[in-house]
Amino acid sequence: MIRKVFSIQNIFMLLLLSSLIFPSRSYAQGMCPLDTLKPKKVGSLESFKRIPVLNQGRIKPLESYAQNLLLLFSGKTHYKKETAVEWLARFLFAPRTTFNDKIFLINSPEIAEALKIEPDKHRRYSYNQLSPGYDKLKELAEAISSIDEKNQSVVDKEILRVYSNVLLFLRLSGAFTFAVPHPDFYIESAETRALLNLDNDQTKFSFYNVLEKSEPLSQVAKTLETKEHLLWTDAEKDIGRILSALDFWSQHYSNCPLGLIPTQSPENEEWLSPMDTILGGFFDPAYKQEIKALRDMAVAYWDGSQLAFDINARMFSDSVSKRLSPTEKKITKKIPLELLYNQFNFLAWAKLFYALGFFIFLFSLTFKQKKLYQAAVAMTILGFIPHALALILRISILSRPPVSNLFETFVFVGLICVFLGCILEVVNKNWLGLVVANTCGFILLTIAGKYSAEGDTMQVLIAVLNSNFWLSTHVLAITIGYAGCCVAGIMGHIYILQLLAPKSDAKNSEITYKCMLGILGFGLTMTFLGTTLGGIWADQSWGRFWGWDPKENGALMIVLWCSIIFHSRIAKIINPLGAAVGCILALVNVMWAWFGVNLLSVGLHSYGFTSGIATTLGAYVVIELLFIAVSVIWLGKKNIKF
Amino acid sequence: MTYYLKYYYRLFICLGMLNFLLGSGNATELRQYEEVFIDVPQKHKMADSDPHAFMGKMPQDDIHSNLNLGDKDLQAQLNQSVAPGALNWVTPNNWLEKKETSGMRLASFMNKDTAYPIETTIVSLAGKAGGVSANVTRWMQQIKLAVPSMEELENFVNQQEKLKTQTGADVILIDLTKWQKETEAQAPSMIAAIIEKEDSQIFVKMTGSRESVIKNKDSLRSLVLSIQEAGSQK
Amino acid sequence: MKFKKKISKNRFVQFFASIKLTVICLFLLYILTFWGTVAQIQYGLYQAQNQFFHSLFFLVFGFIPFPGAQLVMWVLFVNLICVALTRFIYYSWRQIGILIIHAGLLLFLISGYVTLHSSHESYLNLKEGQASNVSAAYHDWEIAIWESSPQEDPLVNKNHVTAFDVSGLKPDQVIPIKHLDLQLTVKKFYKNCEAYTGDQSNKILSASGIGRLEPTELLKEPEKNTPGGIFQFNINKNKVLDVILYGGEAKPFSFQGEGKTYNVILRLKRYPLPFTLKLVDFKKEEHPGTDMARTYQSLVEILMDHAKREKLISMNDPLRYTDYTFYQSSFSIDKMGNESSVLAVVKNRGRLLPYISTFVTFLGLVIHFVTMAIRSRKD
Repeated sequence: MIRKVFSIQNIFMLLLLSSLIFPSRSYAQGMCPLDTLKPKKVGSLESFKRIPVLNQGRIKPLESYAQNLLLLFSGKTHYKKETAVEWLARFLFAPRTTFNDKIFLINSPEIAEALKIEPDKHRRYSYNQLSPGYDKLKELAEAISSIDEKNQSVVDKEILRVYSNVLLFLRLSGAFTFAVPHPDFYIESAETRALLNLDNDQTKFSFYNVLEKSEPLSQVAKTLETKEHLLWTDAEKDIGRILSALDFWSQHYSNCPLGLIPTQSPENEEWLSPMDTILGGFFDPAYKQEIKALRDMAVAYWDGSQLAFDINARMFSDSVSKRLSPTEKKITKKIPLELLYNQFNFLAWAKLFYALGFFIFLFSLTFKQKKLYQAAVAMTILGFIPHALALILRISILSRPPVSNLFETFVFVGLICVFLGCILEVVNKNWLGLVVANTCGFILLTIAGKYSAEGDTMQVLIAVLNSNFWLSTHVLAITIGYAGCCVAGIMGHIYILQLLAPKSDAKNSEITYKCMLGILGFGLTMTFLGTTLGGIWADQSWGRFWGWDPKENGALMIVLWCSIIFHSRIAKIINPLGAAVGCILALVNVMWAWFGVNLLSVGLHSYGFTSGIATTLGAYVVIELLFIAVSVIWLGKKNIKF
Repeated sequence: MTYYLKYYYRLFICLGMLNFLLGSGNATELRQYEEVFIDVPQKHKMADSDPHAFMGKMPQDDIHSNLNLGDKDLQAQLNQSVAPGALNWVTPNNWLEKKETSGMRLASFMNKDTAYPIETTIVSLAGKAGGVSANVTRWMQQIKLAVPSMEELENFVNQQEKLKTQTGADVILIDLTKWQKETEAQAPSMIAAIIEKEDSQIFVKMTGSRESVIKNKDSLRSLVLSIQEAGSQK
Repeated sequence: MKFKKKISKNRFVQFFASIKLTVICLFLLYILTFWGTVAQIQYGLYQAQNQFFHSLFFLVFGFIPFPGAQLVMWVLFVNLICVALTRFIYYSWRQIGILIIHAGLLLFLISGYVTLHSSHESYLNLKEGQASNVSAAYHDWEIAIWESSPQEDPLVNKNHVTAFDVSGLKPDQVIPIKHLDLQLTVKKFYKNCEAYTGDQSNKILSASGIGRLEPTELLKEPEKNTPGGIFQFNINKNKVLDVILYGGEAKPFSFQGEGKTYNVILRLKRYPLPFTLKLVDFKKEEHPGTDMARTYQSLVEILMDHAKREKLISMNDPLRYTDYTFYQSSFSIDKMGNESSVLAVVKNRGRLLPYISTFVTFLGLVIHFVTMAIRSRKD
């Protein structure tokens, strides 16, 4: 933590005195006439959303920050008709207008009940609804945080989440209060205003206005130091009050987790909120200029003056980026790319096209037309392009292979599956590859969507993963292996469905069978490579090639299972149907290794903790087993042996 | 079926014997090696001339030092210890109060007399922190004293000085120097006080060499007696 | 050809060359892997490893024997060799991929054996500035004895240590140490115990005032067990001492014999390293504004007889020296701001074997599937 040096500390020497005269009262808590006011807002936030901010170790545009913040609070990336960045602007510049916004997602109605709030059918509550129960929430959260994490129930975790969200909301809501007038700094007496060289036409001032006049303020403070307080004039008492308010504000609004302003010291990589910067050194010219720009942005937002807002936002960004270190500059240069990524929801488009492609296939089962085939090919390609684009953008934004968290692996495996499907289609031209591509693409992107709802998907990496070489060899190989096994699993389903179909075409199912084995072999090869490369990585960083860690075991199980299928085929233990069932089980295996293992939350690899997935995974396995059982029995009647 | 099972079991019995034979072969073997260990003079933030610097070698209240050893109960207890009402105290004349940044400690002190350095901490824990004997046992382990039998320990605790603070709270002053020989003047030692409150316990622990803590016992007593809850003065 | 026919008729070879056996073994291994993974929740990694993977067999519910992974892999090894002798012996170019794959797998099994028997892991915990030439085991213990010698520099300790493992000690066992003219008799030994002061009347000595030891049950995390015991020292055949040694003691027990002072201590087993390693500096970096570590690094100095060199050890970049590898494993920072770094030390003779096996097997897989793909295209 950095040490904050209060450069206007001498003013506060007096505070001990003044606090005797003005019994401590909660400043900033009192009703502000602005509460009832609404800002005029500005129409376009283009310049605002590209302001860089340091959050969770990464420099990102405010737009991404806004989306992640809103996602964290409410599980959505927009509030009603407002986009995330519009909401963030309103929240930062006019926080009180958001106190009635229902943005806090509380999944468990039990918690609402405990906090004595009427349960909401959308499970979202406003700050004003939560604040009466805040003490209760705090009490519960503190009790829970003493429990070992393993023993916390789902509700306990939810309470902790809600509590930390409310705390974050409160801290952030004070980020820009320094810029807007507040009763604590209203100065009715013209004499006081004159004493402080303040504008004589108005009475409503902000923290910032007063702070600007620190010179006359400290002069007055000095004279007051030696003066018996009974002899103070009214104006001097007024100034005593203002000094005390300044002190209170500087404590109350410090430690705000909004990293907007980089520090001047090159060793310190942290970025500070405006208030913390003011405390750290307001008289540094760069800081002063940046804080003024932020203040003017807030004022322009209230006045609805687009031009002033844009000019100041740009001025702020320019000033900040001038001071950045070369590595930081490199990152901020990628902000336009990230904005592009945010603007077009590539993955949603890809998902849509894959779904359309699949529906076209269903159509083609009844209407056999060549045009439908062409349309399905087009849909697959249309899905593939944004899908690939999204990944390419991520690679260039983060400068690392797109496989560092579960969300990314699902997107990446999806892409590989679609690619494998396309190759199959090029070879066979009989719908098989298209069906595989569209189903895999759609399903995997849907799962990925679920993971993206957990927050920022572009996190920084923990030390052990922070190696591009191994991420791009071991993790890429193993995820490609997963993709191969997934495709083989889907083809196992297709093969069985083809056998079950009333008019089964032996030639077609024969092709499916051969391709399935080929793809499974590909999956085996890549999984094997990935697993052993993982061993080599482990040897490089932990000193052992193999340690029977859950994740390693999961990958080994896939390799073993695939080789069991191949060997049983040679040993004539199973027939083609058996191999297809084996492929389906290989898919189950992949799911286990991919994220089932993380549910165990033991071992070195359990970085991607995934809660609440156990039931979904369990249900999936049951459905898969039922499907296998029913189809094997059915086909047994048709005299097709296992 | 049973026929096969019989073979199955026989196979494992043979394997078991083989395992036994292979495993019991190695007698205790002597190994010889050169051991080199190069230590560093204690590094510290304070000036080298200040003997307080060597306090780093002394076991502190550590709250944190014992935690990693897996003492779950203590951990839970510490986590529950939400800082209770603020305390006031009078720093003894010959002591200095240090800035305390760790959340657990309310305050820590060192004495001005550099010939006999000691360090004292005030820690407050909510609830009953495991009884007097449990704490004494823990402290004895911290200063590397062998823990006596339960009876001896109880006798020892009963013999310790009992006091009352200004606000009437019970205090027990635990003097662990009794367990050390007079000759061990430089051995790490500790005198500690436990103040019993209705809903919490306050620990005041003074650590240092045996002779230093004995020299500072009176200051500790005065510090302990001066402790009271903030605002309860009137 | 004659050899092949002869060998194919051998019943042993016939039995072990069956592919059905391969499938059974693979399936058993599959089950063991899954079981061993799930069991880690309850038993922890170490015990699960020993029970499921390093064992030849274990008992389920205490009476049903089940093969352990080591046994299964032995069978697979024999199976692979027999198959190689009977089936692969007349190979063709079409089968070259398969051959290479299985050669790689054979090498994998061998490297597993080598690693199991020739590697050991230990650690080195150094404060900045400290240096040592021995690493400590994680949970194996030894009794170490050395003669006190005058030290030129109070900071440099050099001792010639005689040590033996305590894992196999049994009561009444006699351990003669001839070159020190000492004899040690084990009176009591506990693998896990607690130490108490007790009546000092029974004349048992201890470095830290321990009077008696109480055995406690063995814990499932082996590193949490602290052994201790009562040992009788027979010094120069004329002096007898009864001494309690306990793993929790920091100081060695010292005794006199013929004008020499001996020190004895029960401590974690030490492994001599080929050089003295000094920790020069430890550094930890975090992602700005978070508690998440970005890197840990230890700058160490390798002190050899006449030369020294520096090396920066970080995550994913260990120090390698002959069969030894030093990894950044952990760290601690005490109240005084002294930073210390924990380096994991691994000695493994077969370290490169899995690398080679990986390469060979992967090559084989690629060749096989490419030839398969080309052949299926031709069909």
